[in-house]
Amino acid sequence: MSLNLISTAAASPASLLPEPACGPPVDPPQELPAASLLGDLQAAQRGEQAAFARLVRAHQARVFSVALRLTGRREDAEELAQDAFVQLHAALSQIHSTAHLLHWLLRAITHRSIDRLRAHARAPRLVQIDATEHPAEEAAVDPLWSRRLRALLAELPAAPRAVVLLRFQEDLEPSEIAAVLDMPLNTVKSHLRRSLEWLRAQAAVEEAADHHGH
Amino acid sequence: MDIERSLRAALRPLDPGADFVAGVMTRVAADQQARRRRARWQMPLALAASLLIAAIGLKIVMQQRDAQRIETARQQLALALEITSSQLTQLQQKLNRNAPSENGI
Repeated sequence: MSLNLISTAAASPASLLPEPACGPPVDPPQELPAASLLGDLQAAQRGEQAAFARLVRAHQARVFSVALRLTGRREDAEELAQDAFVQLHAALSQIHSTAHLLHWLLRAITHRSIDRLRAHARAPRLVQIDATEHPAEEAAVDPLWSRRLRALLAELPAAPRAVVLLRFQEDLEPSEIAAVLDMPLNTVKSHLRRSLEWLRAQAAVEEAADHHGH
Repeated sequence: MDIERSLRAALRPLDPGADFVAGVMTRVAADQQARRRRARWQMPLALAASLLIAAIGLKIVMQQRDAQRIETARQQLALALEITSSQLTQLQQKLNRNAPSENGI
């Protein structure tokens, strides 16, 4: 595993920006039995630490990935995701369902990540590059195209980037995104529409450039 | 090109690593310890603050009562002096009426 450092602020729009070193992509936890998650939630509320650890394990990939793709820094993402879970542990008594738990986590991590991203907005961004990221996923789809998409996504401002992440990583409906981000529904829809238009346009430009290159 | 499908494929959740849960649980334990420590200090602090407030309140009430007592005493003294003064005046007038004139009439 080789690690390099690049400044994304100086990178061109078409630059390939792999994500930091991480484990392989995982299936989201909604595929876990809902009853099991509910049981773990109730046990965690009674104070069972092992049950809380299972809840963390079930949600860690989603929470961490949102933070990672919003902040662009692995260390920030890990810290923010851990913060969110620690805060969740203190607020467990207020959580009344597994859906509420996920909503609570996504809301906490998105807001914290956007705050962190804005705080770092003027600082040069250093992103760790891992040559072996996403081996399973990239074997299934065009790895180059996936990297380009993530690089383009990283160029979006914080709010539209969060909207796109929640829509396509978390599969949330626009109304759910509006609730998580405290944003009017029309703003969410507008961010989605404009972001997708921009991504399509950028992709077309890069495709044309590739054809010229060849 | 189906950009939405491509985004879903490109944005699959990533596992943060095996140590993540252990890190969270360590921080949860530290947080709980800090909360317990705060709670241990909160009760004596709250008690001390309540006692202090009660003592200050008592002191204020006592001062107000003292001030009221002094005022009552002052008013009673003023009344007594007024009565005495009035009696002395009456006495003086009586003496003046009964005193013989200079030429003995």
